[in-house]
Amino acid sequence: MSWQTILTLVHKDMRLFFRNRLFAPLTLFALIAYGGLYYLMPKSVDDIHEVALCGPAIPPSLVEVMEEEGIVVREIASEKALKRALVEGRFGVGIVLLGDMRQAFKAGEKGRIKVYFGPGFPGELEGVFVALFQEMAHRFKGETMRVVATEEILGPDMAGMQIPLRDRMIPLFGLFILMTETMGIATLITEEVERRTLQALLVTPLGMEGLTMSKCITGVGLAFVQVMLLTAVIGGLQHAPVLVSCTLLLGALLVTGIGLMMASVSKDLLSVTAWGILAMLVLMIPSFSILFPGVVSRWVRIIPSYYLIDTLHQVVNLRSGWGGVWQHFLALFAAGAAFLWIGAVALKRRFRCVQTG
Amino acid sequence: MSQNAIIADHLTYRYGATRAVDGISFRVGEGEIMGFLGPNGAGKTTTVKILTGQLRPQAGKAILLGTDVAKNRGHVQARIGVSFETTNLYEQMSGEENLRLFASLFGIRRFDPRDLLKKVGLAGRKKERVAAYSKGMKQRLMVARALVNRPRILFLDEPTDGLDPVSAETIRSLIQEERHRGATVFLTTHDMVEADKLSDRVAFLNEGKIVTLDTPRALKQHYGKRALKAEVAAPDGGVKALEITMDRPETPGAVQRLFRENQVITIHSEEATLEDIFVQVTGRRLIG
Repeated sequence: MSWQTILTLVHKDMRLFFRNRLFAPLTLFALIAYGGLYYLMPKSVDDIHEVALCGPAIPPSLVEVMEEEGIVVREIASEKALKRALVEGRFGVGIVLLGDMRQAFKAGEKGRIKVYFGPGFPGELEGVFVALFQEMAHRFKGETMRVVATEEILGPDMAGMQIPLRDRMIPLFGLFILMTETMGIATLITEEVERRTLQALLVTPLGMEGLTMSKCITGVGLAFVQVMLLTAVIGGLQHAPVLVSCTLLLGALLVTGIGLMMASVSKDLLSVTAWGILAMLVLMIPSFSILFPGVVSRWVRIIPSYYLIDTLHQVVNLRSGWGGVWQHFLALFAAGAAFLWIGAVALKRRFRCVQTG
Repeated sequence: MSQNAIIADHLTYRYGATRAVDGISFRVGEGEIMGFLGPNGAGKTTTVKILTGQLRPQAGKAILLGTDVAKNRGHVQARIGVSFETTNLYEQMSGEENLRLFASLFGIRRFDPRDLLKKVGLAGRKKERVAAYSKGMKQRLMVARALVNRPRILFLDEPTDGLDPVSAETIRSLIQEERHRGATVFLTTHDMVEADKLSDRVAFLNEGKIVTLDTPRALKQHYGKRALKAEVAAPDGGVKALEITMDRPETPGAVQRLFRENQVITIHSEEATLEDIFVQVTGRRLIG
């Protein structure tokens, strides 16, 4: 096995990849699309909670109390207009004051309100909002709850610098581009088998080891360069670039291993695509825990891409360093090495089957 | 043909219960062109795969240029060239790029593909992608690819199958040229005429065994019947066919009588073809 011949094959594979009428444009398209999508998404988190309010007499002090809680009040002329605004999605919550609240309180009566929720409002938060309004009504009356609460944030205090959705999506964009390249290398390999060029290579001094090694290097190289490019474009290398690069390299090992496995069981582009979509669906599950915290259970840790996605999230979005992510980094290293090894073994078996006919 | 370039010694290979190659032995001398003939499934491809190091024999051994292929595959593969029956070129690369790639895989640093491309008549189209080539051009490029390392043994599998006469002739000339250079040529083919024209010796393979191996001439002498076939005018005004068996003591007299006693309309000699001999030896036809 000579490095010179391996590099020759890597060069050949790269050339064929960029002459491939599907994967060359797809790579370019993916880079532009993911990069463009990132910059089109809002770069800040909209923390303003707007509430629609209407009533015969809205006391300014009630509005003040609500705004102290971070709620922006928009007065609406009528209950009908308020309901329409909620249905149209302009507000999540709408409150209708039924009568004059001040007079009711003065008379020692209960103030009556009607709370409307928009169709997309989370059901589990409805009760919380009602309780919040009751608490505000107490304060409006000059009363306070007999509970003294102190607040403490565990972990990094992200107040005022909440992570926008587009940044939460950086690991997912990375995974998508890695998988695109992986399907590209799997297709190159299946074409090599399908068009029997593999046989021509196997009667040169290159040998099976050299051939498999060249496919691994091509796969990792393609995936790593593309994902680095995308990450750089969307600003993912601004913090701890060495750590992010190492993480992406391990991610490239992981997905290349999966790509080699796909190539070892696929016959053509169609089967590579089918396996690729299945693999992508499974590998992207851990990203849901970052996009929608709390919706995914701890079992996602058995999916190896969790260690790629979470490490990237920790470093890029939460500004963690080596000390904060070393355990996940090691797990990713182990998963990447294991998958690449399994992929290489599976591919070698496939090549042997082709050779023995 | 002083030394043996190829020694096959009781080569055996089974696919499950099927014996694809059943203990065959033969030798091919240096500079010799050996035609390896047999119908589909006779074991030709498996034999070539063993000789070129793609398969390890389950019994017996293959020695090429003095080296056991199973023990030192890489060493042998560096000194052989293989052209396959089915086109297997990188179609998105040019003819020149294909040759340069394989030269590099053989460790040839300063490779100039121009001579080789000129030999196979592709010099003018070296920059074009192979996908745009005709079948004949692709086949010629495959042969050129097998020659990039100036191999001492050249394996050619159906090199002229389905080609136009010009392409076929170019390849035949190349084979002769290689033989004159001193290369050994192992030619696998269905085409008996081509095998007859090119081969110093031919081996007939059937059901994994070599059923006969000799020079085409010797085979024809041994198995074939040479005859003169004539058409003469019949007394009733029609045409009558006559046949005189050759190589017998009475043949000269019979030929004299033919011309003396008949009005000869046509006459030609007829020899047994390798195809006839193959059918005679194996009871099977090569194709079909």
